[in-house]
Amino acid sequence: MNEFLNLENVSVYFGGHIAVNEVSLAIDPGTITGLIGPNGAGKTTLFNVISGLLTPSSGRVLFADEDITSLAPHKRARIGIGRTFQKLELFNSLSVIDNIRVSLEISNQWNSSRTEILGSNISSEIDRILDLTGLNSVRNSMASEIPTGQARLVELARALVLSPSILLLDEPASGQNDEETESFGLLLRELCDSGISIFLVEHDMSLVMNTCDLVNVLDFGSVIAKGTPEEIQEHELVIEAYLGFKKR
Amino acid sequence: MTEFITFTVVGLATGAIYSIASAGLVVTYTTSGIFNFAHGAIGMFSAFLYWQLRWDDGWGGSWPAPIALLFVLFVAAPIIGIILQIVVMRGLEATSETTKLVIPIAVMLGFIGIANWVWQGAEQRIPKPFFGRNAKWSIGDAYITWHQTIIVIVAVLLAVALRFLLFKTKIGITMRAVVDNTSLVELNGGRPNRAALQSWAIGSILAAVAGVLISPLLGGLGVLALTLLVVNAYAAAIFGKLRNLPLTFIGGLVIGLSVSYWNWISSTGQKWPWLSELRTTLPVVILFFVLLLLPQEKLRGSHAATIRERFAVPSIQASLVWSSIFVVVVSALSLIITDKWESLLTRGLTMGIIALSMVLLTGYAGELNLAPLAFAGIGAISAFQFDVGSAVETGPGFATLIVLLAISFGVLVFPAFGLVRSRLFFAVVSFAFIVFILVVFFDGTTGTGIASRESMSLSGLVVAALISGSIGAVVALPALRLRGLYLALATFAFAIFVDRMVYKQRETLTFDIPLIGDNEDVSINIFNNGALNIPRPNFWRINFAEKQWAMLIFVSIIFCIFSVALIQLRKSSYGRQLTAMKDSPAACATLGMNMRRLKLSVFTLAAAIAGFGGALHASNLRTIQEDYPFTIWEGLALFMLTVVGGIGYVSGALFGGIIYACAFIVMGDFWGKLAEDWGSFRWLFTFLQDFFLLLGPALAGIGLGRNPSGVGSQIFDGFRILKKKDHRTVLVCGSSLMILSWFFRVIEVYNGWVFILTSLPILFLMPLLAEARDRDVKSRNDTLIEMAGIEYDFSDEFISYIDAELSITSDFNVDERNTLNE
Ligand SMILES: Nc1ncnc2c1ncn2[C@@H]1O[C@H](COP(=O)(O)OP(=O)(O)O)[C@@H](O)[C@H]1O
Ligand SMILES: [Mg+2]
Repeated sequence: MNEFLNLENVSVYFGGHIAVNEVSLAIDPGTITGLIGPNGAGKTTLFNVISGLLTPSSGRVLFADEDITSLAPHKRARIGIGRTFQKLELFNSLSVIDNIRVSLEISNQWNSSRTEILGSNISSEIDRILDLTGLNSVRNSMASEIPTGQARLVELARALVLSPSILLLDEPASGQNDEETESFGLLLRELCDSGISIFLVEHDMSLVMNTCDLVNVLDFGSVIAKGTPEEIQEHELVIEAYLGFKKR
Repeated sequence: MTEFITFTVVGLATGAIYSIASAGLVVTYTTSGIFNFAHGAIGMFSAFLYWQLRWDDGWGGSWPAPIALLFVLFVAAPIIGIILQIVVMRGLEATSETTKLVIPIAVMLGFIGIANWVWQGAEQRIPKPFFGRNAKWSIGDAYITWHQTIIVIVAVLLAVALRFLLFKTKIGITMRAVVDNTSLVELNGGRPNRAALQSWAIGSILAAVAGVLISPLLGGLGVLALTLLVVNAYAAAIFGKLRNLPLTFIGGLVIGLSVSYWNWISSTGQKWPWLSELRTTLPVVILFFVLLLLPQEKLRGSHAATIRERFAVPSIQASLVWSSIFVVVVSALSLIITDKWESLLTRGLTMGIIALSMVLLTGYAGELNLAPLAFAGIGAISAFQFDVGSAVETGPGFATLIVLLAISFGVLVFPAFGLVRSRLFFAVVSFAFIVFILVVFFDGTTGTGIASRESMSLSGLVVAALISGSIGAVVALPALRLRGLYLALATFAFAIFVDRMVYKQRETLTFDIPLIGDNEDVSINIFNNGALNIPRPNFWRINFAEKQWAMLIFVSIIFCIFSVALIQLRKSSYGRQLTAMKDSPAACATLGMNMRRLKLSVFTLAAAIAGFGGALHASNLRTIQEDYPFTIWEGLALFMLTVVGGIGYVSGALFGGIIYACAFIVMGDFWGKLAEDWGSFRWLFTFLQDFFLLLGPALAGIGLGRNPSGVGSQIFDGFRILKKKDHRTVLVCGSSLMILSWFFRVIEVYNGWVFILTSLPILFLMPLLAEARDRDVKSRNDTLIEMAGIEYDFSDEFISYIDAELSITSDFNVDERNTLNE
């Protein structure tokens, strides 16, 4: 199968500091790919590069064989790259349901083919997404007032509205308890089966090991290992990086 | 050649002053992240202080130059800087962009107020240059004064000293580190507070140096002129992106030289009279374009402290009910207050309409605009020129032009509403049609403009809105990529531009506007020699010109219509998108939103509202002058007071407008009247009068500008309790008492004071009473002994919420706990 998100030798410098160093990665369609690494390894920075919030200092980003390295963020969203944020970026002055509604309205603005389908069915689409993410109980709460775990689900719901072909999730399970994380893993599987590829940054190792097809390990901005969850758990460098991280 | 040298020297000297001033701005910005709008005012204040010490007849007066200099630069200025940092600016880093802007603006207005107070009177204050006017030397035939020489030397010395300070000393390194990461500096043992203090002291010294050096170059000291002169330095600071000192110095020189060479080319503005004010405006024009050329900053995420909505947006019914109540109350008041009060209140409401434009733009959409009154002024001028003015003939051509404007307005604003294409077309066409009908109905299809008429027409207001909206779009178009502080500065530059180039325009400009005037050229005298007379409206056979009360009620109705419309807009898809853009531009982008289109549309709409309000305000005042009421200063004050009132809400606009137009005048008058009546305490009451008039707004801004939701919404919040069924008796009794009191006033049982002293306490006692009753009810409900003192149940959800917030995954999860309990 042809790989559809490709990073080629991407580097990002902040002043003299190297946050991402010559990273090359590929995501296959229909898979869940993990990205792990200690804090400050450059995971979020890499996500920012993919979604266009940051231009890499060098290297290229390819999506479906097209070079999107300098495409504006909103255009990347329009070709199917959705994401969530580690540092929550909810619309705090709106309720949960309005967060989702406004996302639909925004996507209707550019996705005119969908307008006709959704024109009258907006609320049923909203209900579908609320059900899927299990947010029905807080639908009328203000986004600023719900617990972090659920807030992360709102971000996910908002991104799902776009029907993205790839979803970048930045630590979506932090702030969730074990039970929630477990059902979250199932949700990810479900989404993946419905045709959305997922690129997952996560600290919760059980979630990563249980749900990912492939895992990349980032340390000090470089990819130090790639492989299936089993291979990664055995990998010497990874253990070292994590031990070093744990000691800190 | 001689001329070239002379103008170069003049340019270098002023440029050097700009460099010095802007270096001060950069120093404070890099260490505290706050753009010190008050910088120019500090320079102005120091120049006045220096003059006082050297030349005044009163205190000070004959200090020798070196001592006066030492005192102003190294005692007064650093003290000002330190006090500002400790009292006002500390803790501002973590607040919203609006707050970071409002507080320094309040400080600036405060300095202007103090200076106007201390140095009032028409006395000419002319500072002398160093070593006198005749101390000069020459290169060839060109003379260079010692003052100019000193300026350049000082600038060079300061540049070297600053470079050394920032890069070679421990203080400097801490100062540079603070802005990047305050807590990290703390960890490493640096003392960020101390660094901030030092940087504010240094910044203030630099402002003072600039003020003292520049003042002799003016004809005489003037509070506003001097403040604005130092404001020219803002452009220089932007050259260096507010961080880079060498670029900032170069920027200052570029500005100084451009102005000087422009003076040379244009013979000090005489060659092209309509551009004569460009010599004072050039720096802000440069500021605007440098801002546009600045590399685009990356999309930012949400801010911790943006304006939060604290309660639900009211429904259409609720907003209609409140509007009717408002109009009824205003009408009732108009029966019992004097003409003077009526006219103050009317001004408050027209200003409130202008403030609504800020609620839309800043409150809803999160875009800063420091030029609300520039758009208002443009609206007033348009109304004059096209509706009332003598120049422009109305007629078929005019109607066509207006229809074209309406179409372009529709095309700019409506697409962002998310209509499908067919409906979009329909909306634009019907909008243009309505405008056409209005124009034809009120202006007819033949005849001349308003000079021949004695009243403002509705079409005049619509034209005002359309033209001001279009100009808003023209300004916004290049500025769309700017955000936050940079957008604020760009609009600030635009406001100064309008102040100088439009309000001070004395030339008759001849245009060949297509369609108008039967192929003859149209001559427009934009600001008729410093004053425009704009008559009141005259609809429905009501003579608004003679009846202030009618004007008041009319304006209150218009305010309500705009408010209800804005509230509905906020609840629409468009409003949600504005809110989303305000809360997190980054998230909007990742949802595929093209924010430029939305921004352009909201900017246009807001400018149109401001233009409409401006035309109405002008028509209520009947005359506008070049220096009142639409200047940059008034605009900053209105912006600040709207933030104080609550820029996120319609009620904030009401409060902002009314505080702006009435509150301080009324308070000042109150003390003024006391001063008349109580001769022996005259000094005290006069003091209080001046205090409120000159410093009131600034102090309100400093004191209340940090409150993110504003005074207005908080007061409304207080009255919310009366909506409960339990408190209906309180509400009914209170209102009846107030109506009774009003009635007694109407039949003149007593005077206005008694009315105020009876009704206001009742008004504010009602919510207090209701709260007291609530408390009573609560304490009567029995509490279990073990729950005494506990206000909330720790419910399971609440516990898991706390766990989630603390990122604890509790082993004890909900189900287990329940089973344990069993
Ligand atoms: N805007 C920025 N400016 C400077 N340094 C940054 C910026 N964003 C991230 N960094 C640095 O880049 C490195 C990688 O950060 P990040 O991608 O957030 O790591 P992760 O998500 O893996 O925890 C960190 O050292 C961080 O301090
Ligand atoms: Mg991260």
